Amino acid sequence: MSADPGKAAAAPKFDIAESPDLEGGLRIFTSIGHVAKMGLVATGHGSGWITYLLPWRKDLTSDTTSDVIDNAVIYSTLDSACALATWAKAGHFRGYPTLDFRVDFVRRPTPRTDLIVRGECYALDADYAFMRAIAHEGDPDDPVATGSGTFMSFSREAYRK
Amino acid sequence: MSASPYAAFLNLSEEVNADGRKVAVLNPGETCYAREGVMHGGATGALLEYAARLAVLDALRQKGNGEKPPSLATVSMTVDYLRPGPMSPNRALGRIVKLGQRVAHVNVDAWNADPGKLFATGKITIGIQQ
Repeated sequence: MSADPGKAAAAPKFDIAESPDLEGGLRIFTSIGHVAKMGLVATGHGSGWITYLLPWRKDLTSDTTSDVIDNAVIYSTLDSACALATWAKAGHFRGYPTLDFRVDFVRRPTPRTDLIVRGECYALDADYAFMRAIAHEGDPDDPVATGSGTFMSFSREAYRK
Repeated sequence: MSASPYAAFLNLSEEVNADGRKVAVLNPGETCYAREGVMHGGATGALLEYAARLAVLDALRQKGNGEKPPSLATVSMTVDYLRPGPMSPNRALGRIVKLGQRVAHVNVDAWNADPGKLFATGKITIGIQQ
């Protein structure tokens, strides 16, 4: 494995600055590194939110017998769903890496079951974006996990033009 | 700790430090990659959670826990991202804040080359079933 895997695939990132093309962004984001390897599929987006499908896979489970998706996978999909929700909120791309993120693991996932993950940006300004997220198996009123967090823009100055 | 399929997917492992404590090690490859030189924040979360579980298992062992290995389930976790996590071997150490009968509170720090320069810190609550 090379020292910086996925480097070539990551190149388009720098071309999407301020881009309004969220669909294109979701395609790029789900084709790179961690998110691509976990198999996240972008399934929808609207004003301030995006959704992913996380297809169940044996190599994403927490042990070899229960066939339950690992909590760390759920943490990561919730975080990932929030990452591009800023785009859905602002209407164009801005880089907001995670500043802090909290997940409550509400219940044990059902074995061998896909997860639906929704990330929502409910407020943002030039510095911070505020997020909430939910992971469920089809019924949002019966969540597997919920997340919330603050994201912080790469640079305030860059967004003052 | 027996490695989970997801720990293997991320390339998570463990080592013992000079104080005899178990340290989680994440040697990131493409499954952890976010952008050039930077690890995905989800992989950082997984590293911290893994370190917290190692700390709880160690503490239970020292307490003289029964023969049957306890079953751990993370209840909640919060991670503060202090700087980007590098795409080179990263380590995390969990410190038990309180070990109760049913739940353990753990603080976890993650660093790359310098243990004094953290890139993430977290607090993780782990449920215990003995």
